[in-house]
Amino acid sequence: MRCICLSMVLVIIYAEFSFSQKEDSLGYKVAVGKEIAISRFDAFHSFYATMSFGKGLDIRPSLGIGIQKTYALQRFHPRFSLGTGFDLFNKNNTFDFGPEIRFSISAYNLNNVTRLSYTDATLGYFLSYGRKWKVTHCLSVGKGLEKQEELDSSFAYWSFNLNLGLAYVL
Amino acid sequence: MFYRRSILFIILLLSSCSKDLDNHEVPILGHAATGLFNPQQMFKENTAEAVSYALSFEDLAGIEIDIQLSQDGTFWLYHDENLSSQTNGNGLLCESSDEYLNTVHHKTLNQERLTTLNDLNFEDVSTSKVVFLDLKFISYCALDSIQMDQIAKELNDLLVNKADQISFYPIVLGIENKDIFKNNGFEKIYADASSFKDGIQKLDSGFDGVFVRNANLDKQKVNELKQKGEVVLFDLRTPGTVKKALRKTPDFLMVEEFRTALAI
Repeated sequence: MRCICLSMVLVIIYAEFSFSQKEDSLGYKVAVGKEIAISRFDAFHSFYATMSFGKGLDIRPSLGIGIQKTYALQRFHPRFSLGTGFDLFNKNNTFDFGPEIRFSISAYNLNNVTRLSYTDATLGYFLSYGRKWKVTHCLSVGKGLEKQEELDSSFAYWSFNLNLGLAYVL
Repeated sequence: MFYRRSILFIILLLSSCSKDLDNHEVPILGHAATGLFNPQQMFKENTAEAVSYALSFEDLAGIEIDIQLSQDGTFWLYHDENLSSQTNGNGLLCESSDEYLNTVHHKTLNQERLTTLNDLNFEDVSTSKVVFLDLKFISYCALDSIQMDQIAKELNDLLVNKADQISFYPIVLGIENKDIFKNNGFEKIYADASSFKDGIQKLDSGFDGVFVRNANLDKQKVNELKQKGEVVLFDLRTPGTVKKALRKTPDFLMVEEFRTALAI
């Protein structure tokens, strides 16, 4: 967990430093933002970064916590998610749209006996609108796996991700 | 400003509240295994998949399942009277043949098939569990006492060697049916009670326990009922109502989303 947090901090700091450099020399643009991500078993409050590469390839890592489990049930429920998409309107800086594939992992302790972890792989689309400030949205569906770690048993389920966020282009 | 926010978020994330892990003492039951009309359910309620999934949780005390009887006398798991409400089938389950019911599936993404009681596999259950059998066919099908006696015997014969770790307790309608099931080998018989007064009457008439809606009983009434028999509270859909019901300390809580209840 701490490794994931550290990676996220490094991404954000690197993105911040890159602000002073020209996009051409760096080869990609960076935006950072905040989003609400609704998934099958919880809604997540996440911070995310978007790295847009020259040919339209976007990479979106995000790190968040599950609102229901963490706040209502007081069970810390972190999630790391990584989305990769291709912007079909690459020439247009205002409107982005394209397909996206997303992998997510999350886990929490149900109680002192059971720890549940979730791994999701979903496919869908992303879109964003704006130049400096961007309203972003992703929707994807796919399959997930719930695992009870102490029993080594797992169950597959249909999964979805619905994200709505606001990002700032650095 | 951005750095400060980032650092604050990371600190909040790492130090986010996580209470001491504790087990509350009230045993939790899964309503229809994974909860009726529960949007977070992993599998459709009253199916082999749902039963297997629920019983895989070591700290879940057990489940409740709804039992109906087909035209051919087979025990099927299904809640509603009419097949069309939850499945691609039509008509009443008690008027349908096994051949027809074998073709029916639930209206879900997984399209789980209707399950017979005989289909359930309890071999992987490692800890002792309770399975409450809500015998819906008593109210849905017109059966006389001779037929009921035969059905009770068949049900007990089916379950007696099903699994050593599991205790099966029927929930039945009517005092006369309670005696029939008791005489056919079931150790404990439960009943639904619509109110505190009804609960007292049922327990006084010899039922071992009652299922009562959480909203109909406060802590004091739960304690009064517990002096006569076991109390199971149900109709618990949100974490808030589960927390309040836990404070009433009934013998069991039957919840819609058991993972949430186990995490409280």
